[in-house]
Amino acid sequence: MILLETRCLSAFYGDFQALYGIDLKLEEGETIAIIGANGAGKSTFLKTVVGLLAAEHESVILAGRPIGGLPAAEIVRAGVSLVPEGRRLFPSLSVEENLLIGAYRRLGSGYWTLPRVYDLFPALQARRHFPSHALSGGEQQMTAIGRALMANPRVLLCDEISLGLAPVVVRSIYAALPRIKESGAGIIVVEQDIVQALDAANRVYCFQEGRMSLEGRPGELSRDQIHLAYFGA
Amino acid sequence: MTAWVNTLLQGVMLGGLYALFAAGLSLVFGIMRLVNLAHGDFIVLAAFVILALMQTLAIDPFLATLLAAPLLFGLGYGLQNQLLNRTLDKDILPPLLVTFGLSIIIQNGLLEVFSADSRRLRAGAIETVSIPLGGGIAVGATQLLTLASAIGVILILNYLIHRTEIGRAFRATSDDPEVARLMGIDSGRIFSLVTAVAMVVIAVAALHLGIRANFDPTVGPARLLYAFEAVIIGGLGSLWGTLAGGILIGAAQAIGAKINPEWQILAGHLAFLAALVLRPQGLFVGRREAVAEPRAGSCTRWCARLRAGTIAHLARCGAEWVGRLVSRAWMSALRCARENLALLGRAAIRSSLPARSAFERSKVGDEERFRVEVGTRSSRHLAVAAVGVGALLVALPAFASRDLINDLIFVLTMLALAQFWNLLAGYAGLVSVGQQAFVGMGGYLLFASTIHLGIDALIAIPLCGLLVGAIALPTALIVFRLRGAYFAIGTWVMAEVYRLVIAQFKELGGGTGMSLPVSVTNQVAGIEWVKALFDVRTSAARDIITYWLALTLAIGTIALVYLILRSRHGLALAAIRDSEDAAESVGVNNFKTKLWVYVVTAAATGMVGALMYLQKARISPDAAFSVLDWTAYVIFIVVIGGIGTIEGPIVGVLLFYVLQVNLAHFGTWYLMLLGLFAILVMLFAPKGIWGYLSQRYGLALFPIRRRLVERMGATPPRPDT
Repeated sequence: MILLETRCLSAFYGDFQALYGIDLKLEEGETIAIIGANGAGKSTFLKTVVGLLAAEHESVILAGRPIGGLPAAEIVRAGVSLVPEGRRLFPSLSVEENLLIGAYRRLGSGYWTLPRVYDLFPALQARRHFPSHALSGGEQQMTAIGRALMANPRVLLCDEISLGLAPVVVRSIYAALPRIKESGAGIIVVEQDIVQALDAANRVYCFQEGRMSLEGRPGELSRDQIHLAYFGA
Repeated sequence: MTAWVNTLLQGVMLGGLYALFAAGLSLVFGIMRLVNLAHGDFIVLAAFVILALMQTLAIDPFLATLLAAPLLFGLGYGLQNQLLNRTLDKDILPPLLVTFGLSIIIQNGLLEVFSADSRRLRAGAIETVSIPLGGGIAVGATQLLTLASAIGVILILNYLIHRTEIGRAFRATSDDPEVARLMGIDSGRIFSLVTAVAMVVIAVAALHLGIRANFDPTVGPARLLYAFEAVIIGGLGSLWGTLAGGILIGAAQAIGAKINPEWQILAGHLAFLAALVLRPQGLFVGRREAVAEPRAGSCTRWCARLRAGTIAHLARCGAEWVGRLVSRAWMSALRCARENLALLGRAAIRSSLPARSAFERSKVGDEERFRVEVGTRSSRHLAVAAVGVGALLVALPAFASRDLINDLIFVLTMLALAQFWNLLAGYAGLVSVGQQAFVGMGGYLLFASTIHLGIDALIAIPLCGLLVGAIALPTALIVFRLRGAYFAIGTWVMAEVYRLVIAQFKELGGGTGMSLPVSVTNQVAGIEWVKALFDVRTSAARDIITYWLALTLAIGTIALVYLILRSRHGLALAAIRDSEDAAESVGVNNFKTKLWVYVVTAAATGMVGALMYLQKARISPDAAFSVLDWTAYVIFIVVIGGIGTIEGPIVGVLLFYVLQVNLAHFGTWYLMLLGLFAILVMLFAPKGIWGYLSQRYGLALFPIRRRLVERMGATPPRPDT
């Protein structure tokens, strides 16, 4: 079943068009990666899906229900959570409070609870009462992912979760993705690190200057194809 | 000794009241970065609501407060939800102006309903109960209750913010509203709840205000200032710090009053200024972020010098520096910044043209193909028309009635004030609510120099300008420690300090003011010549001279503002307004540029003030330092006309004049209408009447934008290969 679909999705910053007719599908239990150079529109795509930028109502569909252009708070309630670029934890909240605020508008019970998030990222348990800015970059990223999970999303959007982290830390964070997938969520990761993205994803989309330039399964795409789709001519 | 202990104790108790005033302000600012200029008026409004409930239901004030709290909760929620949430953005101007408008509406609405009579909330027997602490020291029960309430309110607010789920949402929204939305938090609803809670705190504050002292509809602004001072002294985000700040102000006031009853308020303000100079980040900073700006490098450097006590050095630097700036401003005005413009324009083109590479390639060989223009066709036609209008205005006294001349004096002086406020707020981003300080100082210096030093009024006016500029320099060094909305209230405090200090001088008429002797007004240089020229009496000749001076000032003001904006400094100002950090990073010295604008504006405002009071010939501290006359009206003119344009104030002053002539006799209703009008314009046409017209029809009478124009007959661009 198709979990999330965008149909001819476009996005604008004022008069400037940042996305041109993106068609994308996310199946249930699937992880897809969006790769592309700086300014290709990857983050814009995630922001538009989650309602931080305006979109046509019919252009974003979550499990058959159009959600495009709804306020972000409602889209989160419908089941789409974003791990924002640069983590953006709430500095006046402790680690545990950051996790709890993720469940602010959650409906009913779901798989993800505070103990399960601590189980997923054991490093956070010991630091639960620390102010969020006192954590290392990796721990902050774990908190940001945990915060998004606390809303029990059907679709988890991850914006550059490897940004500014050491390779070993990146690997440990990516190691958590399969478990998140097991909980039933579909995952879209946006990455500049192509190797990491190809490794984690079932399918890959490549963006270039606001347009989709390539789509396929990691094993079936050649280096040259990706190079062309990534950088253009 | 016992008397002093009692005084100090009273001060501490009074501090509890100020902390109550401040708690709501602190809560609202801490969470939504909204500074509510109507905060004091809300307290007074709440006091009147309690009074009305007491009278209609015949209940005691405590019960009435309990009933008023849900009403005010609802009012706060609705107000934030329907009005204030629309003004929240990066720009600090809309919320400031909307709450300023609200302040005027509430004050005058209360005057209309409850009259200007002093009221009090009668609490019965408890008012007279005094608790002896031994050794002749005693404290009133109501005073103790105030302090206890303040502590109680702070405890409850701290619990709400730090221990509850809604408090978590408050803090999250305050940190990052965008990510808060990603958590499913509706920030608009959160903000409305915050204001609603703040209104309940205001109800408690109002109860204590009304029990302890008399109040009337006009006491709000002073409460706002005390609240603001307590917040700044305590440091942002720390409610306990706010309590300490309130106690400091209260104690200073009590001690001041003990020495001389007239010094009570002044002592409180001075304690605040001292705290601001010595510890701009607040005495008890709770969070990493402080309102006062310790981060602008040059500011801290100046401040460090000030602290080290090298005031002589400071004055020397200041004088040298002002001299250099003035001469530089003249030079660039004379050169008309032509080369600068060309250079800047070219740089701008290079960075802004989308087809940069194409342009770079075609540049070789036809450097001349593009040029940078500032004027438009309409502006050139209008320049000719303006010269005609100017000539007509100069010759006007020959055939106009004296009434018209008098009205025009009013229009022209208000226009000059509006232009300067616009330069300050609309271009430099320095939203001041304290320009009345310089109008008043200009007026008083004119009186002092003509009466006590016997200087001719015509010479005294520019002299007053220079002196006011000199006063503005140290003023700036204090208020520049505050940013944005806090800067606005800081300037207001400074104006109050000047008013209170001037009222101490018996030679200047003290609190009641004084008149300019006829010998001064009737012996202005050139008056005999004007009398002969137009064949008029002395008083009419005096008006004509004042009129010409006002005309010169107004035209000079427009010319000065226009030249500044066309120069490099204008570009720097625009850059600072748009992004302080970016401007600094390309080499604009933000601190110097702002200081320069502030001092020049103050000096010119002082000259206008001197001229106005030459015409009025009577001055008093309350009138000369009136926030309504010299700042509120001016803000109204600029905002309605169009902030950030030179044309806006001209349109605004004409409209204001028409309203004033036709509606001023409606008194409070007129003022409420002005406030409402300003709020509506800010919400629906934030660029004002001129902004709307120029956007719609592309008009620009005083064009300052650099535009790229292709030369006529230039070679067509080569096809891009």
